[in-house]
Amino acid sequence: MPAKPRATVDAHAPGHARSATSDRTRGVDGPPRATKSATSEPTDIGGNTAADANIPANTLRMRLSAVSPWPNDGFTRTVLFATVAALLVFVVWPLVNSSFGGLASAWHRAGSGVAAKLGVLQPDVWRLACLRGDGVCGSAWHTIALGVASAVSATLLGTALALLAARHWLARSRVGGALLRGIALLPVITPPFAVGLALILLLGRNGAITRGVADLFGIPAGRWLYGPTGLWLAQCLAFTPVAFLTVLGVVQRLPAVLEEAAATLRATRWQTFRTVTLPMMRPGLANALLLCFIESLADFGNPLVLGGNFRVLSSDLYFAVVGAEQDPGRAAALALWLLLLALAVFVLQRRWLGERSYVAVGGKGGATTALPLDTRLSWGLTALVTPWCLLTAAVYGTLLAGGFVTLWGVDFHWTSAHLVDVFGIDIEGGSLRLTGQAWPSALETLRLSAIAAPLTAAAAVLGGWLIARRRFPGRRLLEATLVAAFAIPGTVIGLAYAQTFNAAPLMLTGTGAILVLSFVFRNMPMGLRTTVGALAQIDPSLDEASATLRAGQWTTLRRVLLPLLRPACAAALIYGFVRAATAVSAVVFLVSADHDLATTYLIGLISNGSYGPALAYAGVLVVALFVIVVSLEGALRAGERRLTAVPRYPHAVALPAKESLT
Amino acid sequence: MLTTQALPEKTPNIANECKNDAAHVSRRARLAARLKSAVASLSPRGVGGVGARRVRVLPLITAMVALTATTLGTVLLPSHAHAADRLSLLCSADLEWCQLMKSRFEKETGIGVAMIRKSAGEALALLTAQRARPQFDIWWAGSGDSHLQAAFEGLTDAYRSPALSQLQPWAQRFAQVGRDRTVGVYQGLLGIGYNVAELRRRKVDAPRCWRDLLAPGLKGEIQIANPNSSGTAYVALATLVQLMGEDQAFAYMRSLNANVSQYTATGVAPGEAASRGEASVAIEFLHDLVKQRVAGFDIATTAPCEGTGYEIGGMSLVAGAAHPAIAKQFYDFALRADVQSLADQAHAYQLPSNSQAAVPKQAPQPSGIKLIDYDFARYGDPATRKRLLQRWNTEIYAHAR
Repeated sequence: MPAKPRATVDAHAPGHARSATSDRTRGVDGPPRATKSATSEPTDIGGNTAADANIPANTLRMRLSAVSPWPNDGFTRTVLFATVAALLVFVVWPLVNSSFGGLASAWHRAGSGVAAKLGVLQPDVWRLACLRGDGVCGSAWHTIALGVASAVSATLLGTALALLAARHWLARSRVGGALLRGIALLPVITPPFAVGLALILLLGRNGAITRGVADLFGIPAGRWLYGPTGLWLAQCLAFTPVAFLTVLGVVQRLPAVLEEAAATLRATRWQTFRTVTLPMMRPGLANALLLCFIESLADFGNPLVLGGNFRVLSSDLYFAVVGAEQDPGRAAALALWLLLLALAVFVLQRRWLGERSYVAVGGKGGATTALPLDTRLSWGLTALVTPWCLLTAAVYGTLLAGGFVTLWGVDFHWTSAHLVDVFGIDIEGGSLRLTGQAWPSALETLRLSAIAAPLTAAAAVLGGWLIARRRFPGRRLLEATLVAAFAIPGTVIGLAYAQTFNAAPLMLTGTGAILVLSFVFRNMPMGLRTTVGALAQIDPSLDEASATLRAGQWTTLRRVLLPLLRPACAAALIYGFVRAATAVSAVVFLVSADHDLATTYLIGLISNGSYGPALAYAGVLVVALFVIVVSLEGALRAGERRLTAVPRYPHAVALPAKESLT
Repeated sequence: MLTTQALPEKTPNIANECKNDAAHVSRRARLAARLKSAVASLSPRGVGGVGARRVRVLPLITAMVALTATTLGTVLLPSHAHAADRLSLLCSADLEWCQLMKSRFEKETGIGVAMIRKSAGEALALLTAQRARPQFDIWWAGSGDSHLQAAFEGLTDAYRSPALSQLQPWAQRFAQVGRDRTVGVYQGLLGIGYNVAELRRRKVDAPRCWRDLLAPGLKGEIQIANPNSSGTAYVALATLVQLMGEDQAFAYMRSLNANVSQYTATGVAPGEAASRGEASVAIEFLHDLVKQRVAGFDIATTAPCEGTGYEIGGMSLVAGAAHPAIAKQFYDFALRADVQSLADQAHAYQLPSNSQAAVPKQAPQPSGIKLIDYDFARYGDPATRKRLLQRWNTEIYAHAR
């Protein structure tokens, strides 16, 4: 292709923000083929590599390397090798070792005949008896229905919150913005069963709100909370922050210049929103939908507490493993179905995003502040998020208050005995003694989460960069594997780790390393999806500019991309920390006496019936995590405040851009 | 150059170059400088310069490397449980009781105990997964069905304790069924619990027998666990089958279906729901219901008049354990009368297996209760279990509300 002369001209021309309306087909991630040669074959400006008799030796080597599809720089090769090796050792091998072993033995045990062999795959989860009216549908259908409903509503709410947080005049004030972001992030800190319990205390048949409504309006209290409705409500509550974090980064990076252009063409604010803003937000929306769906697939605590008779795959799988009928073959088959569902949604998401470009951050600065939202739209969004915010505040208020009540439902006297029981401190004779029963597990949780969080963020950013910016054979396969690693139910991976890493060469059971590893590999894909979405918005011409200045890939990543990826990094770090601190299903089989975690300890307290101490523990955990998350977020956003300053040198070429650029 | 005096102190590079000697700055150098400043200005520091960036990122990388090194260094040290002389205890009772046993054993023998609490199903799954190299030395408490299953699968070792002769007949029979790979440590009776205030509000008489549960006034007020996921409910199912005969039992459960609001996932959930008024009646083990009452909830308990069944809590030595001698020490310790009498302190209201141990005051007294002769061998057998559960799924659960 006669690409090079055009490529070099383009690389040096004043860059223009390539918009979604550009008609050059380019990959969403990765430089266009036209300019690929510019980065992989640096020749002199306007030079040719035509087959001449007097080609210097190094040009020939470069030409040969250009033919190879593998990356040719050391940094990318190292990162690729490390990623693939880590995935093979810590994701693929344990799964193959345990789950497929279970499937294989079930296959051998099954009777002869096609029907018996197919029965190993548990087709009863796909039965459609409810359509015939005489029974219950299979749990796979339940899972899909619940997942779609939760994903759509959580994405809707998260997008509304993100738009309000980024564009609404009220949210731009320090207090309003902090409050909104605080409430939006609160449900991420969800100790197991605690939120379900709080919902029952509020909305159950005997709940506070239900009884209040019954007294006021005469509507009889029912058990509507136990079943798909309550489950959907709990999942909406829990997954909106995930969507919020994902979409916020995208919204903050939308090119205001395009919206201004639409305004100068006399489009109303609503038209601009509908035709310019929303399509540009697609990567964020797509990622949010994918993440929320997969979270719903893997949700373990809520179906147990609020599911009622509505069975889903994750709880079916848990009980196949630990229930009265121990059937590891069934568990493996159900895990397979779960993975297939997740991969199907991933494929659909890729189809929807397509190969279009969503670039927002180009090589030229000079962007202006974003237009405020259309008035009716902002009122509509506010009306949408207000009930959610109120419910979140009520649920977490109940959680916090429950720790100080003697016995919720019976004796509402205030007491601090529960708090002292779990977190008592004894200061006598100058020495500090931690007498509460919860200290060891709480401190261990914070320690291991603090170790896992930066590892998770680093892995997420490197992995996202690898997938979005580098090309190599098997890139889509790697991406799909990472999505699968996220979607694997925690029960399966926990048992797989407990079985696989119990002997040489990797004897890890009983240590903290196995917990940290499970955290990193389960939480990394979320940060990775956010990074991929954010990189889709950054023009590859910045990478090219850096390459023409002879910077290697590592330097480009460090000095050009990382600063622009700061929201994604922050999200990955915060999410990695909080998810590590509240992980349940994966760590049930991995904790040991020396490394006990807050979540398993909470489960122990709740099964013991000690609700007072359990709620006190959950409340303190929520407050501690909230403080840590808010300070992390504040520290990571510290640099961005400066962007709102007025540019000082209007005559210079490219000047500090506003919030919308970084 | 007079025009430069109008400019402020910090000017971009290109202006400085103009100031020095504009003519000698090549086009290429100017272009390069432009690109550099464009890239640098895109960072949040603006024209503060790229030098400031370097300072920011390096500490982050150093911190990450340090953390990784710390992780590998401290966290990958070999687990204490395998190195030092410690008992690795897998405990399937309530947290309070587990902690009591652990501290008592440590105080008496001076040997450290690494205790992990898991429900019986999770414990069995973990032992199966770690069959090649067990992490635990002994498994104490938890439903006997799980211990029997572990025994049948060869996950546990046989051992006859000297205290065996002091045990109740049912505990010794249980050890026989498990071929000495397991022994009974407590007995939990199945029964009915109800919320007194709720029943009074609905003007329904307190249920005393299994047939009272079929009363139309209790429609949607009863909760019981799902036998697929809960050992409690499986014991209830097997009890009804042994009481009434299989077909009669399934007919009874079909009628009960109308009154059951939810088949809960865990065995203790019905009692918790009844405590909070989410349901009125719970079918569960009596010791769990008594625990709710002692905690302060308005729950009353009764054992059904026709007869009821029970579970036996087991204890097994793990096969291939790292510290078999200490495990046997704990085995004998747990069967002692004085140790079993401590259960009251931990709010555990099961009936102890040592005939000389004291029965907790609040525990259901076995003298007034009609017990069936529960056939552990038959109803613990995987084939029978599978058949009954299949039948339950198709006849009962498929028609649940």
